[in-house]
Amino acid sequence: MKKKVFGGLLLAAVLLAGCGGKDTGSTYQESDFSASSEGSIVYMGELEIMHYSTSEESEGNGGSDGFRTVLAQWAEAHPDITLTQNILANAEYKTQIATLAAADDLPDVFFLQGMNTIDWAKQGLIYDLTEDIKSSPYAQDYNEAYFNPFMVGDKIYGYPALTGGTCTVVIYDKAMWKEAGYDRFPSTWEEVEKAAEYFQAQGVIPVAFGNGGKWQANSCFLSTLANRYTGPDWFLSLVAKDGAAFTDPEFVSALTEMQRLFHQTDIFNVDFNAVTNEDAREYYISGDAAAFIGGNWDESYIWAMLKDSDPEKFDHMGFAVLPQPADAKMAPNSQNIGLGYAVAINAKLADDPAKLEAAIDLAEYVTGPAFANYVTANYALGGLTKAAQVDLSAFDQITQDFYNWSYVDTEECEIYDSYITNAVWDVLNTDLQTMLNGDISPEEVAANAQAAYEANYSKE
Amino acid sequence: MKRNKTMHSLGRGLLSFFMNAALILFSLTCIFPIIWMGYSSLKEKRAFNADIIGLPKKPSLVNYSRILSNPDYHLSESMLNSVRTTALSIVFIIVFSFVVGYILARVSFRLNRVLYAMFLLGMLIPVHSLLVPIYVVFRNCGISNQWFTLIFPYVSFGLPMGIFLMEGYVKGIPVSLEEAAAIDGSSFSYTMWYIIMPICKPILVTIGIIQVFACWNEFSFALVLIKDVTLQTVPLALTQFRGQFASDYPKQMAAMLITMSPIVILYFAFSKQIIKGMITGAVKE
Repeated sequence: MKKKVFGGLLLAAVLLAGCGGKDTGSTYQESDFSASSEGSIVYMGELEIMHYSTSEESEGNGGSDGFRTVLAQWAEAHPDITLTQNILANAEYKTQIATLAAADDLPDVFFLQGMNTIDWAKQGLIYDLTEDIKSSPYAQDYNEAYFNPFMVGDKIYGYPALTGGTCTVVIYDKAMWKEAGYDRFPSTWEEVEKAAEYFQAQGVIPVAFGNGGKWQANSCFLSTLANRYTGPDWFLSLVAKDGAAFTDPEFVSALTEMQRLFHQTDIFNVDFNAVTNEDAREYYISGDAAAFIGGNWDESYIWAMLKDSDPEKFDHMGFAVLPQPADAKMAPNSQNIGLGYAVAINAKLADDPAKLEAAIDLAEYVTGPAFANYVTANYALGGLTKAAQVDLSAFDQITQDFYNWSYVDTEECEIYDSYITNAVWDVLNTDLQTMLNGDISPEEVAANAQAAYEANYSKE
Repeated sequence: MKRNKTMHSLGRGLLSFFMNAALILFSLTCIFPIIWMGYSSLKEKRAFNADIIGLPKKPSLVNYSRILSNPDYHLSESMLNSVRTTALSIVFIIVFSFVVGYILARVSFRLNRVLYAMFLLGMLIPVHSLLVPIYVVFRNCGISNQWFTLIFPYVSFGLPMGIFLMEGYVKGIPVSLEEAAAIDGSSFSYTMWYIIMPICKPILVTIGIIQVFACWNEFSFALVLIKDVTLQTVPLALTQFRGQFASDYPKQMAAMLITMSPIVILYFAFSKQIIKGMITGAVKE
């Protein structure tokens, strides 16, 4: 009897869970845009695309939402083509796409991560899109700098996708800094150190940061800070294996300054190496911290959290670039921004020109004006293509400020881990975490990164 | 004398108290994650991020309604896929483990031990090192991304453990039982299926329990061999709640509670059998 009751419960649980219903496809916002080449594609059949814009990812994420929207538009405009989507969350996507690449079985169209470009191009896995990009109807509107991570020599292997957002922004509470005697966020670390004394006396964390995931210190701090010492050419030379080395004095100086800021000053929360960016931004939201350093994804979250729950604090949100170190000479107004993924095409499609044409059309469309206009109009974000009209008046002041800060008022620099290879960044990120605790010297970090670079990275 | 007795009784009482307190504390550490998941699933993302451990101030079922009303999550399909894949894999693992284990334990032939060692080697190979070769084999055979795809690796990787346990158990059964059956005219297969198999029921349950959990939770093969979202199993479907830079943990916990409900109910339904089976697996007489 007992078993029957439990059996019934089991069945009920399965049926209850089944209430989610059958997949009827996502609902998309109506749009005025139409696919560029509607009717001109001769290919009829299946086209497979693999990406990581899951339903969850697209909630509040402009790039992901925009991508899903324009992808649906393209599919609707090409009824003769069966667009098969394989959608996985980002971490799982990276595992599966790496397996498929190792088995030489990449999907027709997929997201290419910048750091895989050289290896996969060398193996002949990805189609050379150089001529197609040059002859694209949107070529004039492309932000050419975004192609860098997807280039090998002069050849381009992908259409940079999703939105270009900063990876290093200082979000600060204008009112709190005003009380500390600063009308705006300090432009030098010396001033921040002075302000830290005031905030510490008030029991407030001057600047919140979270490096629990290890990648944050690299993506959201070092990429920009080191650019202030090395300038942009150093990193491009490193990517091109053109002479630059992690052991160069400028880069070691950046590491030394970074260690000093985190280990010898009271600027950051003491648990910065244990908490993630998700935890650290809560310090800012709750008022326990006067500022926070993170990426555009953190800004979106803080914006959404404060807008309704704390309008006063919301109105006090300000944005700043990383302060300049005293001994740094380069680009004081720089912040790292770019597109980490590109829409790439399987090299095997070269054997099927009609299918290749459809794949290129798809790649152009989902990274073209339709996408740019959508994300600009709905999220005040930018993509590969410059938006036709940027009307910010419909957005609140904070969104307008962040758009201008991201795309107009600051200087761009590269996001390190969009390039080279994970094998190098894994070593550097682990060492950075140890270094920020004061357990390893900047010179050792640089030497280890250089060894990993020489062992794992080749230009051709 | 009386005082000594009182002291002794007090000492035993205190010892018993502390031992029970320690055991209760230990039990709580095992149960707390489930309780934490339960009440955290009633929180909004913001409330959870602000206070990870605290109780919800405004409990809400919104995470559950969002999960069950969003067709993109494929939770119902993934549960059915997991149930189907797990059930079929378990049937094959139990049948094959029993037959192979019995033959290896009872039939002496030249390569018996070599064959046994080969099966056991399967337990020593790290699954991740085989992902790409297995993917290539499956693709070339045209059996990747099908509803039955995952049954092959689950059975293959479940067999070594099953055969190991079964072979050891059968060896503990007196041979005189089969000799008596043979004298009574029982054939080899009749003896195996109708005399030995019922005796092996406890170890078969043990194998079943171990493999149900292994198959239900398996992730790597499901990730690599399945592309179609409608064929995803539960562990894969749950990854949808993680974003590139942020995760909705309360929603993820609600999804986990929904998807784990069948297996928890299954556990409670057969708890006596399961505990008996586990004891059988642990202690040999």
